[in-house]
Amino acid sequence: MKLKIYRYNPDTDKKPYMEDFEIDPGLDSGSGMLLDVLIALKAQDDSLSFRRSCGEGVCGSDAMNINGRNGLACTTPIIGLPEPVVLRPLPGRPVIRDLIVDLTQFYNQYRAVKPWLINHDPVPEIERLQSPEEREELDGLYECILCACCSTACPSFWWHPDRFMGPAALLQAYRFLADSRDQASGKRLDALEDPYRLFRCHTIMNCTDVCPKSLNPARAIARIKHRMIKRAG
Amino acid sequence: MMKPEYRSSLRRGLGEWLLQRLSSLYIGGFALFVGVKLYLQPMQSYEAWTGWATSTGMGIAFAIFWFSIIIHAWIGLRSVIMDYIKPFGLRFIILSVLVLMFSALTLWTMDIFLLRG
Repeated sequence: MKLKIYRYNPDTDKKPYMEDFEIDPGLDSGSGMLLDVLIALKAQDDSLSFRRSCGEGVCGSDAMNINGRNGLACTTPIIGLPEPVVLRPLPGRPVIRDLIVDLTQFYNQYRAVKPWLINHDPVPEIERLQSPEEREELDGLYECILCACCSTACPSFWWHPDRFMGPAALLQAYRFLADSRDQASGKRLDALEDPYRLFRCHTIMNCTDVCPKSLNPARAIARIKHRMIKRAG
Repeated sequence: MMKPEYRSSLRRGLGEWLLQRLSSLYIGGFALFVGVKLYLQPMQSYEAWTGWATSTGMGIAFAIFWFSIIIHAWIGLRSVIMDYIKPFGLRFIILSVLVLMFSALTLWTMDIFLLRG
C-alpha cells in the first residue's frame, strides 16, 4: 500500500513536505482501517505523529484529510482507497506536527455557545423530564464527537476562524436551542445574531458532506435562522 | 476567546440575510412574470410597451424590482468582500467605492421612475 503523508516538525523542518511510504498492511483487507496502517507505519518510523484514541469513531481524535476529504482514519476502510493515499492535516488550522493541528480556536468557539443546559428552575430530585417527542428533537445533534471534520472543511471557517462560529459549534448551539429543558433560547440567539457568528454560513454544505457521524450541521444552522425569524416575527 | 454575551450595534445579520432572500424571491418572481407576460401577450409597438410599463401598478412593480436588485447586489457583494478582503484599509476603500456606485444607481433609478416616469 502506497501513501503520501504530510510531514512537518517545527523543530527540524523549515517547511512542510510530503513523504512517500510503502507498507504491506498485513491485515485482512476486508476489515482493515486506515488507522491500523498508520499505527503500523509508526512502528517503522516513530517520528510520524498523529492523534488517536478510541479507534472506534467515538472520540474524534484521528480526524485528518484523507485523499482530499476530511474523515476519521479509524472508520475509513483501506479497501477501495485510491493509492497513493494522500494524508494531510485538517485544513485551515495551524499545524503542530505532521497530522496534528492546533484546535484551540475550535474549542473556544465550542465553549462560546455555552454547551450546557441553562435552567433556572430548582433542581428536581430525580431528573428534568422530557416527552419522547421532545427527546427526539435532539436526535442528529447530540451525537457530535467534536472531531472538527466539518468546521475545517468549511470555507467560511477558513476565512473567519476567529469570528465565524463554524458548523460544529453551531450544531451544538442548536442542540441546546432545541432542548425543551433549556431556558436560555433568547440569550443564545442574541449571542449568534451578528454578521459573522452565524451568518457567514453560505450553505456550502461541506460540513454535512464530510461529517463522519452522518450529522447535518447545515440543517441545524438553517433551523437557528428559522428560530431567529420566528422570534423577530 | 469570544464573549458569549456579546451584543453589538451591528446586530443586523438576520435582517440582511432575510432581505437578500426576499429580494431574490421578488426578482425571480417578477422576471418570470414579465417573461411570461411578454411571451403570451407580445407588445406590438413601443407605445404599447411604454404604456404598459409606466402604468401606476407596473411602475411601482418595476421600481421595486430595480431596488431589489440594488439591495440584493449590495448585500451579496458586501458579503463577498467581508469574506475575502481582510486588510481594513483595502476593505474600507472597496466598500466606499461600492457605496458610491450603488448610491449613484439608486439615484439614477429614482430619477427614471420618479422624475421621468
